[in-house]
Amino acid sequence: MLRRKRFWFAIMAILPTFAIFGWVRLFPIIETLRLSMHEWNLLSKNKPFVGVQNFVELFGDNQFLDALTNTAIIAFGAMAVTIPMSLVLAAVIYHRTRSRFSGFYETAVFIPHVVSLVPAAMAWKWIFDAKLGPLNAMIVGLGGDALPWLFDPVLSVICIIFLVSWQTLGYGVLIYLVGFRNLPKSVFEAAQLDGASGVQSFLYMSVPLLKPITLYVSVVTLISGFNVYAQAYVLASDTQGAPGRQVRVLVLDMLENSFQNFRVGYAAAEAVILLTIVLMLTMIQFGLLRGKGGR
Amino acid sequence: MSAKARVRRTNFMLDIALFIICILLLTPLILLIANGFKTPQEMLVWPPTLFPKDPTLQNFQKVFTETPLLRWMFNSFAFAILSTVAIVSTSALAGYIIGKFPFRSVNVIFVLFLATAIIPFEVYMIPLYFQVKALGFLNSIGGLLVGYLVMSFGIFLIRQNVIASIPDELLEAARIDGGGELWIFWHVVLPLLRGPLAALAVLAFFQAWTAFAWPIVVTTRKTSFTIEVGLANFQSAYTIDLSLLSAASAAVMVPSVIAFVLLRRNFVEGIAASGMKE
Amino acid sequence: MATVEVKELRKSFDDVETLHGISFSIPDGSFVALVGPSGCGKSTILRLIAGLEEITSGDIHIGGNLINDIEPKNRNIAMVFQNYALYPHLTVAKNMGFSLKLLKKSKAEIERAVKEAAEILGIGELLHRLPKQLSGGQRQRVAMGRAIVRQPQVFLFDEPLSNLDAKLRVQMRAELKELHRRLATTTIYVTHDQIEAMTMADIVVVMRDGHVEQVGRPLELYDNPVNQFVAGFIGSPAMNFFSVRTDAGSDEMVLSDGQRLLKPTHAALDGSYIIGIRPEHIRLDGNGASFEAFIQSSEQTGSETLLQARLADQEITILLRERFDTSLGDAHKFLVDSAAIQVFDTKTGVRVEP
Repeated sequence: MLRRKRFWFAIMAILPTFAIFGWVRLFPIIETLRLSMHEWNLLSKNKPFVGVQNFVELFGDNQFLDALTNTAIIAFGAMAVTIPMSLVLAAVIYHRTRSRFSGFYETAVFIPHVVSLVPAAMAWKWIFDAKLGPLNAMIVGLGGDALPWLFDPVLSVICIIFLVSWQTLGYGVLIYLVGFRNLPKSVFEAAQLDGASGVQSFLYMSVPLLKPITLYVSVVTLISGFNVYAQAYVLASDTQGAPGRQVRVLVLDMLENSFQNFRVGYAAAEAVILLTIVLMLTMIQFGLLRGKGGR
Repeated sequence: MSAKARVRRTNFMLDIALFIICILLLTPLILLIANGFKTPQEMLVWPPTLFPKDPTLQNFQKVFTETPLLRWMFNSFAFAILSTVAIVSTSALAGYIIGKFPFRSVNVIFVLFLATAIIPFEVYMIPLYFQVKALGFLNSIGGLLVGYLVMSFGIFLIRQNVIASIPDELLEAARIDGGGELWIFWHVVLPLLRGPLAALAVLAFFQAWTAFAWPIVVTTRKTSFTIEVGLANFQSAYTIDLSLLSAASAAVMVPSVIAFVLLRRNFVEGIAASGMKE
Repeated sequence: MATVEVKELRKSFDDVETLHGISFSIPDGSFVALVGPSGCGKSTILRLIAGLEEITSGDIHIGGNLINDIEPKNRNIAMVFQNYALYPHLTVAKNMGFSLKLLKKSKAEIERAVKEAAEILGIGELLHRLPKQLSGGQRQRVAMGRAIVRQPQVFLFDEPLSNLDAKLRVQMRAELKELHRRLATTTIYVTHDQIEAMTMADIVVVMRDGHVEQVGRPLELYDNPVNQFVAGFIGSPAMNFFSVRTDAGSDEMVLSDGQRLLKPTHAALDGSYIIGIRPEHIRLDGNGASFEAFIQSSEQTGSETLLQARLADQEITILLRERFDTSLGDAHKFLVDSAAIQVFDTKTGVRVEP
């Protein structure tokens, strides 16, 4: 009797949340999957089924491929920069935990992550500005040539990688710090007695022992890298007075297809591809983690 | 040099290095704020100055009186607060149920939450947009909210905490004492969840405050922009006035930073928890 | 020559002094146990000798060299931690060879040294396993192997057996002693278990609250404790203590319940004292100048009888090396040799010399 009462309470209590969830999450996800196999131009009532045609077309679409390449470069590039830097930075900050400045270090490192995307991008947009920015001013002052940071296709991608890394660094440092704090202290004392210097301890002990965290941060930064949008929108776009060259990223391409080109089904197919990439990355993470037997 | 002195010297060098790195990390933001105080003319000077020669408050004045920035701030704030309330309440209740009521149907629901947790919002926001449009919620706080009513991670966080720190015996005792389920949730469970709920609230607020892709899709009218969207689209009305732009960005940025410095513990707790969800 | 000399060693943590001027000398090749209750500072001393903590004041010499400012890795010592502190991500072989790898020894050399150490400890089969695949006893051996490979002048052990079950502990005790005999390296062994200290060490250092109470051979500590603390700490079951009064002229001591004991031949004992009687020195006696106690509990092990009895409003533990049948509440007479009674000052606890 009691169990039935509890059962009904549970169902009733979770129903609202589940209902909302169904509406704002489940339904749209299913819709996206469904739409990806249809053609819809927003205006007509007609949404003909086209099977995998959208996908086939995508892989021949240069703009999409361009977006995919850019996004992948940004995601992997940001990860490649963020991981080693945040690991080393976290190691040093952890080493100086007893310093009176440790609070300052942790806060300062994390502030770029806290500042919302757009103001941060604005800050960097000025720095990278070819005609007015201090970066070029510094380069010229040192005798080099001013570079078209936000115009050149290669350079603008580098700028975005830089911006994304700068923002993600704090997050990485934070997670690594938690990792460092959970490392067994006696293992490091044993290493010290065995003759390991600080650097050797770091390389032979900390890095291998922090592998699970490295894996986690890698995947998280990769996934968020693939979803990059705001930074590209602000930094290297020409909707600002200080012009830049538009860097096409996946999300941008997707939204463009949906709302500017009126091809919703096509855009949905892009979304599905994005989803597949994210799922694959997550699978890989789980696989690698399980392979090592966890910890 | 003795071992002790050597250690002290290394620490000193490390401190210096860290200091420099931290300052470097913060430099772009400092420059942004500095730019806000420059006159528009000074912004166009080459080579650019780092700090204003002739600091002025006119940009900030303009930003608050002549641009919709205040309106945008209101939008963002209302959106973030409402989203936080929604997320915290749904997560608390759902997390509690999933954690302490292991019925089959509840577990099925949990698996569904789990399965969709890693799917980024950008993937399914287009159909959601059409939903919102159909309901006439475009360009409204409601429309913004629709995307940010629940947070899978929030549900997991509460579930973890409920399992880890609320013993079954406590609930049983309360039931025996005659407490109704809702009463138990309100008076027994919630107070014990204060810490994680606070961390979650900070996280949810931050998520809504900094959201970009969804707001930019849902809002097309200038008065309904959130701060992020408004700033990003600043240009169309205010041409090449970088100092004004910087002032606006700075005005948006500074409260976030101050809030972070004050709430650092909760923030860090929330983010660290999201890291340990594995 | 690996003598270890500690002189006026002091250690403070954040203005709280935990070691108050410790001094002792350890001869080359000896096995020295540092014993004492938790918090007495024995682990701290070990860590200071190892170099894992900074010395606040005082000196430590190893082999005649002042090592205060020398880094741990250059002190030529090796340490076995309480929880073994094995490198969880390295195999047994790599764990043991790590120090040599850091010294840039050749692969062949490392392999040879590891193999040798593994032979001595009987873990040759385990070289390719990871720590998490090993039992407690095996991990302990790997920890020792790691220490042996370094061929140090001094071995430091920090309560290495406290994480093992009782049976394994007894076995390992014997093995450690054998190892010491074989390698003849100076060994400093920290433990809170006085039985371990007594059975394994050549020299025992008894500590309390950051002070050295007594240094000496195990039997010396047993026969001639320097104060009440040492007397009560060494020996199991623990010594019994009673308050007595006596006059200079009388040859008897009076317990609080009026019973009398023969006074040990001490000159000028006059007034109140605390006497100590070891449970194993008490015999059954039917007559004469003996005391009477009421049995509260009795445990028979087959060859011995452990009695808890009531005397002078206190508990007294009696260990008889024979079988003895008795029931609760029975009163019996017991005798103790006056020569076996130790006398301590009531206020300072210092032993009054015979």
